[in-house]
Amino acid sequence: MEDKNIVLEVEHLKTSFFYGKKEGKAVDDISFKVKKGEILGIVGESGSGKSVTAMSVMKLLGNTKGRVVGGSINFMGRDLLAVSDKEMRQIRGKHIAMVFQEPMTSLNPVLTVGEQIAETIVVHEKVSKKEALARAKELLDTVQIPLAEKRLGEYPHELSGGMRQRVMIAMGLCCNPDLIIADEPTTALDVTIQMQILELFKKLREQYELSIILITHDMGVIAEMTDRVMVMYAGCMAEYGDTATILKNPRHPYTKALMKAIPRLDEKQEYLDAIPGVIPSIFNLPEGCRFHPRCRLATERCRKERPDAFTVDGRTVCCFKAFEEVKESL
Amino acid sequence: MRYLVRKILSLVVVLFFASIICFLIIHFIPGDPAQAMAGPGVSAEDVEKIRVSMGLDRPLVEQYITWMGDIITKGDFGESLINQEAIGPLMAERFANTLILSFCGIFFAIIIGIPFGIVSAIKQNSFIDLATMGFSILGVSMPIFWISLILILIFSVNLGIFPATGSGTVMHLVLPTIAIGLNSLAVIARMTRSSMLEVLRQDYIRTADAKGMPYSTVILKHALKNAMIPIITTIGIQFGYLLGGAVLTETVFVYPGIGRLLVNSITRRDYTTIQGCMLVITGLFVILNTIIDLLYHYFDPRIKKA
Repeated sequence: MEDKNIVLEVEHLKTSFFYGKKEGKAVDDISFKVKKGEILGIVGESGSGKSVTAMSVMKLLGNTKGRVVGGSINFMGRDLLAVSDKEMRQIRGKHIAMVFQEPMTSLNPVLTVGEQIAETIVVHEKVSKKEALARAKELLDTVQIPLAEKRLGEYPHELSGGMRQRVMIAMGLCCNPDLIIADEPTTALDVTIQMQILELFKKLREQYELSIILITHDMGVIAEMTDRVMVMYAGCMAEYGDTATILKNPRHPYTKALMKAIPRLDEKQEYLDAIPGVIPSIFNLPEGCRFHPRCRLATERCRKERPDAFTVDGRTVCCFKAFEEVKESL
Repeated sequence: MRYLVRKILSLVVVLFFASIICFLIIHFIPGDPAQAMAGPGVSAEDVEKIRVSMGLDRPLVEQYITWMGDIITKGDFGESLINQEAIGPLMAERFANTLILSFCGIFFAIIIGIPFGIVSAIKQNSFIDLATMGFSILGVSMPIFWISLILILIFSVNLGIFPATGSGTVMHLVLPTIAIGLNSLAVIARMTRSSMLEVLRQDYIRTADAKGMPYSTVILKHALKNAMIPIITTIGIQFGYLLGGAVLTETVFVYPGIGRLLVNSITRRDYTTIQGCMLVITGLFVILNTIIDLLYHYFDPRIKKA
């Protein structure tokens, strides 16, 4: 790889789910890069393929009916799709860590918090249990859990949701990974805790030059947290690029609609500008551009052809209409 | 600790009620114990004499207190109605035999059943899974006496490896252990499989995978410990079943256990022995369940707070 700063490079990733003979294209031709110390946001409605993208990178689709069917995933010069299960287990937790959406159920109920963090360290760093527990305590301090010493001996059910998510983050951090994938880490938490957790991510990024992929459906979180963003819709990329640029001047109708759908406190709104319709099932995807049934600007061409990606002022867009607009403005 | 005290208190209460039921059996079963003891063709006066000597004419409460009192203070379960032998020592000896057999049976069932279940679960719908579960359906469906006979036929009559009947040596235990344990093995394997399948779908298993735990750790530490609760319950029930239900095996293999003692006593209307056997079997069942409740603690820390 030419650029040493690139931690993760995903190209033309395709992941499908198979039920009998039916193939559901959950992720269909997604490409993105994550640089060192960068936060990449992936945003989209539920069912747009964000989590599946993350699970594909982690190679955690094994227990599901899903399978990567195309593309490449390059992590620090290694082709993840080519490594064995055993090698992948050595990468997971040590080089790439993941924080999940469900803090309530993601920790093992019958093992203490300390044990769950320490075992990860023991497996990857080959240190003694005692040393690992000492490190676990430091990590709990890092993620700002008070009374860390006492918490080590407690079970997940004795902790609140926010605490559990902090434990998950501590677990993710325990071997100083290069990349953390956080899949809606704050969705299950209440708003004040959300802020604290997000602040924590920011702090950790600065402290450790950590790269983070932050998956969310919240445009506010994207604006607050990320350097670059990829907007996904029905398994496809809609718009991808610099966060500030995209938020200031969104090109794709879906990005625009998402931003309009954010309720605003400073304006009195009679109705929330929601996007009409629902995201299609991966087993029943529309022809052409996947967003066209819900797009106010859709033309005949959108119904038949799938738009190619084009690049304009530092971002990539997949939309015929946006392309025309750009051409006109030139 | 408080939990332990509470458990033991409830154990005492349950045992108390169980003992009342065991005691009352003698009065519920049709037929007069005094008459039974006297045998046929004895005059009504003699029967009456026996009744008085056995204390059967006194109020029920008094009879119960005497009976229970003797058991608790002296370990005296009374005498057999048939041969006036003391029931206590007889039961102790038989009971030890049954315990040995049941322990061997359940051990055999656990040692093989749990690994079978685990393999089935992680290789769900594979050939191994099908074979294991097929075998386990076979195990559940085959009646014990039939298994016993087949085992005797193969290993004693044809191959001559193990003795067909009797007790005393390890060799004598092998066939009864397999016969008695096969059912439980099948049940435990099936329970392990379904419990593991349930647990393997949980988020925390995905977490364990995501932090790069070796596969064996994910299965044996993260999954199995969570899957153990229903398995432990099943093992407890199966063990109780072995203790009480060893009758058939004991009969086929002419093994001197408490099941056979009970059945023989029933056919001979030996009420005092029946009472004693029932009390001991019930008591053991209840104590066993308490031990299992306490074992839950080890496997599920959430129960402590509840």
